[in-house]
This record gives sequence, structure tokens and C-alpha cells, in this order.
Amino acid sequence: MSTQQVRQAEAIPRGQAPLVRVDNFSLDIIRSGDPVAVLTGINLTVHSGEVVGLVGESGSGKSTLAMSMMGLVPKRVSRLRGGSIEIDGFEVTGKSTRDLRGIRGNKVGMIFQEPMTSLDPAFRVGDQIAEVIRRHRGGTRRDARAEAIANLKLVEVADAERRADSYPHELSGGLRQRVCIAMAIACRPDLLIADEPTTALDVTTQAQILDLLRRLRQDMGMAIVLISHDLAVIAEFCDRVMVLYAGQMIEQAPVDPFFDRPRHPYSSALLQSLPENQKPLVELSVLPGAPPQLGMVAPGCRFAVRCAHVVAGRCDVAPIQMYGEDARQYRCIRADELELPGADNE
Amino acid sequence: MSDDVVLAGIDLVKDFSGRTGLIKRSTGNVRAVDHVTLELKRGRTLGLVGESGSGKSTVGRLLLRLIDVSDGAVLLNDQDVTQSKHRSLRKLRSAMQMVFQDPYSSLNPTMRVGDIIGEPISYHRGLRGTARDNEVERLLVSVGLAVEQARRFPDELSGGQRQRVAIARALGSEPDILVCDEAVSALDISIQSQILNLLLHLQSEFGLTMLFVSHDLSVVRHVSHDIAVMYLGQIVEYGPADRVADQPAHPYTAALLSAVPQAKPSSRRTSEKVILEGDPPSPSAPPKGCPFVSRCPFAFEPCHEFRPAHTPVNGGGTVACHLQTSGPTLGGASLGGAAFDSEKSATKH
Ligand SMILES: Nc1ncnc2c1ncn2[C@@H]1O[C@H](COP(=O)(O)OP(=O)(O)OP(=O)(O)O)[C@@H](O)[C@H]1O
Ligand SMILES: Nc1ncnc2c1ncn2[C@@H]1O[C@H](COP(=O)(O)OP(=O)(O)OP(=O)(O)O)[C@@H](O)[C@H]1O
Ligand SMILES: [Mg+2]
Ligand SMILES: [Mg+2]
Repeated sequence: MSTQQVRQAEAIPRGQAPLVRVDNFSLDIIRSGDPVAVLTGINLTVHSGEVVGLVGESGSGKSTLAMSMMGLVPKRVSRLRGGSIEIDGFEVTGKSTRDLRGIRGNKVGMIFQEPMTSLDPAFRVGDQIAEVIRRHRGGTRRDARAEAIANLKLVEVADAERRADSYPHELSGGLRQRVCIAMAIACRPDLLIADEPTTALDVTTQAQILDLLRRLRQDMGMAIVLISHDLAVIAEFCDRVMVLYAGQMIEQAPVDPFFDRPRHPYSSALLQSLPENQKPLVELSVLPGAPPQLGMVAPGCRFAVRCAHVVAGRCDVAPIQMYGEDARQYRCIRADELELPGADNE
Repeated sequence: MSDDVVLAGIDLVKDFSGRTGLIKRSTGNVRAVDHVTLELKRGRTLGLVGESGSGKSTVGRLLLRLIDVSDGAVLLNDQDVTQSKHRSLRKLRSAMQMVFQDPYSSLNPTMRVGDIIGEPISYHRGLRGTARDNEVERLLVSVGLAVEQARRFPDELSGGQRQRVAIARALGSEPDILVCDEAVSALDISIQSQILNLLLHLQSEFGLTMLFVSHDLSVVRHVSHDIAVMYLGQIVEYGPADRVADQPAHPYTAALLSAVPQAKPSSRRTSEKVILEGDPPSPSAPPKGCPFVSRCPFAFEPCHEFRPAHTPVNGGGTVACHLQTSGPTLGGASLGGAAFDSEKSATKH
């Protein structure tokens, strides 16, 4: 057993051009023939070697944003309303699958939320990883297979040689997830988008995987966008955190200040509902209400109806802008009047 | 067997043959579940935690008779259902439901959400038409989805929304026993709390019995009365939730607890992590003695040779660890528990 410093605060290379630049990006989903807004005015930059956490309620648009960065939202069901997404200077929006082939895998790798979305049930997992490697690098089948196995070992799959010959349904949920991680990092991308990568993993395996991602980031300067509903994982792993609410960014901040002193009431409510702050076998305190349905957002603050600090006539009249400076931004008109509890305050 | 045991697995064994696919490459047998015995008591929740691949989902599927046992027995209300076939199984199934780990593959992509949830309602409870639709709406709302979402197909939903459809579907047949396999893992805290509250409510109101499989110890601890810890197909520790979480008796449980990430800045700054080193052993070639021996910092001779038996633990439950029985002692008392207290400081070098 080894000990490990839980978080190393690495210096983030500033000043150079960001690896990812999402600029005022808005996307509609076509539902029953009508476009409805899923993402509105998203701004986000990620530098090489930086780890950015993306949090937000179920349905807030996290996966859609991630898929947009890969150019993976099907054109059939979506419509770009405005803005752009650049990865290493390459404009992703409006590109065809063929154009995007150059960046997928090499520049950007993605771990999908549900492992079965990226695995083909009809093929052995080792062959699937090898296929990805061959597509990007060429080389012999035998080399690709050896590398696939090496990657499986990297993500702590015991008995990798034998597992490589398994079909997805023969693997446990956690093993499947690790196969997907192995596939996403096989070509050592500059940016890894990880959508709930450790959700189905026990904590010790989770710790190993996060440790591995940390090493990849250190050794190769890989940037990571980590989507997780687990605030504790975000706290331990990320440099910065962004909070999505109903398709809008409502807060972004470096991790420590965010957990110490959130500036948006929604962020604060999230931190209050952490299980660590609750008693066993009694009802958990929950945030009342539900996020607005797609396309049914209120004119003012989208969180207003559920907010404990709402002031009628101020919060609910016109769209709320982002306040604060570059490093720390929040979409709350009352932020400066409020003293909101963070993760430590019960 | 005490009469409040609703569902029990006695000495369950499950082997998966290593021969798969068209080209039968032999890859060795996998013993996914290795002599597991556990009981679900009426109106109570048993939490099942453990290493990825340790056999948790397989135990759930064995108990609900979704797959056949290789050995051992499944008892439902003291009745042996191990060999029950289709017709009688159908009756059993209405009493038992499972929320599967991967909602993407467990929901029929060609059906609308309303029908996915409505199907078991008509099948098991005979509701049709408006009665059925009303029930579908009620279930949708109870898991935090909008009524409008009944018209959607699974791939129009987010991951967490799909997971909630799976939960609503399972609750629709009003089961007595519910197996939740990582049922809330992909959900953010506020929805997670809403669903855990719903389950706690169903339990206090209708005596719902649950097996709650999750890798998230803080969630398991929150909803469970008892916790069983699995490693490599075996239960290595079992006991009341508080005892297991506060005074783990097995080194693997201790490692699990120390690896739980902390959100609070105060706990984060002080906590150091014990990351388990070494590979978990291959399930096709398990170690001869204790399953955890290859990664256990306290392993001594007997651990390599003999499989430890379950022995009672102070504070309730049992543990399968040689430290408890034949390990180093101090004034006659086992060092098992004490070892973990010093472990934290010992590993901070
Ligand atoms: N193909 C589609 N057709 C219609 N609606 C869609 C489609 N894809 C996504 N949506 C909707 O867009 C919204 C955002 O979905 P997204 O998957 O991005 O959420 P998320 O933040 O990743 O949630 P989760 O945490 O549950 O995974 C959801 O309300 C979802 O129902
Ligand atoms: N159909 C199958 N064929 C062959 N092997 C299988 C099959 N199903 C499960 N296994 C193997 O049995 C073992 C236990 O799997 P199981 O899915 O029960 O693990 P788990 O504890 O649920 O893990 P996780 O937390 O990763 O979901 C694993 O090694 C898995 O690969
Ligand atoms: Mg998602
Ligand atoms: Mg499982």
C-alpha cells in the first residue's frame, strides 16, 4: 500500500493559447419537429494539462456539451444556434464526421457515460481497442493487440490477456467502464473528455483510475474535462469547476474557493446536500422542486423558482448576466449580498 | 431460519464457463460467486459493496433467479425456488424486481418511456387505459421526471433520466423485494436524495425489502441496515451498517473506507489515501488461501494457505480474516481491529 498526496496543486500553464475554447455556444435539440434550447451561451476554456470539472443536475446538458466538443451530437436531432467550439485551433461545429476524424482519438478522446454506448456487443474487447489503435496509427494486428493489452493493464484490469478475449456482456460493469477508458486513452489524446468515468467503480478502483488519469496529465500534459455528479471526486481531482443549470453555466471557480464559499445559491444547495452532511436512515435534505423542462425556462434567473434567496421583481424579470472576474464567475444578481454556506457548513 | 427472512441465498456458487463465442477459445472458468450466503430481512436493506468484478451484480441476478445457480439454493419465504421454472418464476418476478446497472442496455430502445414503465403495471397489476396512464404519471413524477417525458424514447433522455426510467419501471409492479444495482450511481445529489427518500418511504410504509448494490459507501451507509462486503466472489465481512463503516474488521473494508473521496475542504486537507497496490487476482485463478492475500498489508503465513472462516466480530456481524482468529494478539485480544487504527499513521510516511 502506498500513500499518496491527495491533491497536488500543479501550476497551470497560462498565457499560451487554450486547448479548448468554447465561445458563446448555443445548441437546440429538435424534439417532435420543434427546436428547443439545450445549451445557452456556454463559455469555457481549457488549457493543456488542466483538469476542469463539470457538474450539474441530471438533464442540465453536461453530456450534450461534451458530445458537442467531439462533434458527436447527431445533426438529425440538433441545430446550432450560435457560437463556436475550437479545439487546438480547429473549429468543431458544423464539421462532418470525415473532417472530425483527424481530431477524434488523437486530439480528443472520450469516455462515454454508459459503457455500452461505445462498445460493440459482437466483438471481443481487446479487438475493439486494437482497432482504434490501428485506425489512428496503422501497424500490424499483433502490435495493436499487444498495445491494447498494455492499455488494459494500465487501467488495472487484472489478467488483461484473458480479458482481452471477452465479449462486453461477460464483463462486470466496472470492467466494461475500464475497457472504455483504455480505449479513450489508447492514442494518448491531448484532451480527454470523461463523462462519469468512475461512476460504476468501487472507491478503491476509482482511486486507482483517478490516480492513473493524474499521471497521464502529469507525464503527457493531457487536459481533462471531467463530468461527474460526485462532488467529492470533483473536489479531489479538479483544478476548476463549472456548474451547469438548465443549459446555462451558472458558476465557475477554482475548486477550493468553490467548496469553501460558493457564490451561487444552487451551488451552495448542492454542497449542503452532500451525504457527508447527513444522518443515516433518515430522509436526506433535498433541494425542493425540479429544474425547468427543456424550452420552458423563465425570463429571469433559471433557478429562481427553487431559490431560497429569490427576490421577486429582481431575480425573475430579465436574463441574469455573469458577474465576477475571469477566474471566478457566477450568474446571480444577489451574489454580493449573500453569505452562502459551503461544503463545511452544516 | 428466522421468519422475517424473505429471501435468502444459501452457499451460492456461480461459475461462468470460459468458452465463449463462435470460435471457442478457452479462457478458463470464472468463479464469479464463491459460496455466498446472505439473507434479506423484511422491511430492511442489505447494502452490498465490493471491488469491481467481485460478483455483486451476479449475486443480485442469482437471488432473483435471472440466471441459474451452479450450486447452492435460493429460498423465497422459506420455500426453495432454486429449480423453479418459467410459470412459477413469473409469479416470483412480480414480487421481486431489479434495477440494472446499465440502463442503456436494459431499456428497450424502440419503446416510448410511457410504455416501458406501463408494461409491468398492466402485466403484474392488470391496470389498463387511464388507470395505467395515471399510474405511469405518478411514477414519473416520483422519480423526478416530467409527465411529458412519457412520450420520449430512451435515446432522447440523459443518462440520469434513463436510470430513473429504470427505477420507475421496477417500482411499477409494486415489488416486495427490490434489488438496486448501482441504481443511483449516475445521479446527481439532489435527484439521488429524492430517490433514496422515495425508497426509504416505500420501506417504512410498505415494508419494502432491499438489496442495495453500490460502490458508493456513503450512499450504502445511508440507506442500509446491514452491509456485506465482497471481494473476489466471496463475502469477507458482514454486519450492522454502523459497525462495518465505523469499525471495519477486514483490511479490505478498511481500504475501501479510506478511499472514499471527501468533498469537505477540512477533511480533504487532512486525509491521506491508502491506495491498494497490486492487481486484484484473476477470478479464473484465485489464490489458495484468503482471496485478499495478494494485496493485504497484514498477510502472514496462514493467509497464503487456508481460507479464513467467518468469525463473529465485536459489535455485530462476522468477518473472514485470519487476523481475527489466529493473528498477532496483545494480552489475548486480537490486533485485527487495532491494526487499522495504527495503519493510517503507519502508511503516512
Ligand atoms: N436526442 C435527443 N432528443 C431529445 N432530447 C434530448 C436528446 N438528447 C438530449 N436530450 C435532452 O437534453 C437534455 C440534456 O441532456 P444531457 O444528456 O446533456 O444531460 P446531462 O447533464 O448529461 O444529464 P445526466 O446527468 O442525467 O447524464 C435532457 O433533458 C435530455 O432529455
Ligand atoms: N455472462 C458472463 N460470462 C462470463 N463471465 C461473466 C459473465 N457475467 C459476469 N462475469 C464475470 O463474473 C465476475 C463478476 O461479475 P459481476 O458483474 O457480478 O461483478 P460486480 O461485482 O457487479 O462488478 P462491478 O462493480 O464492476 O459491476 C467478473 O469477473 C465478470 O467478468
Ligand atoms: Mg449525461
Ligand atoms: Mg455490477
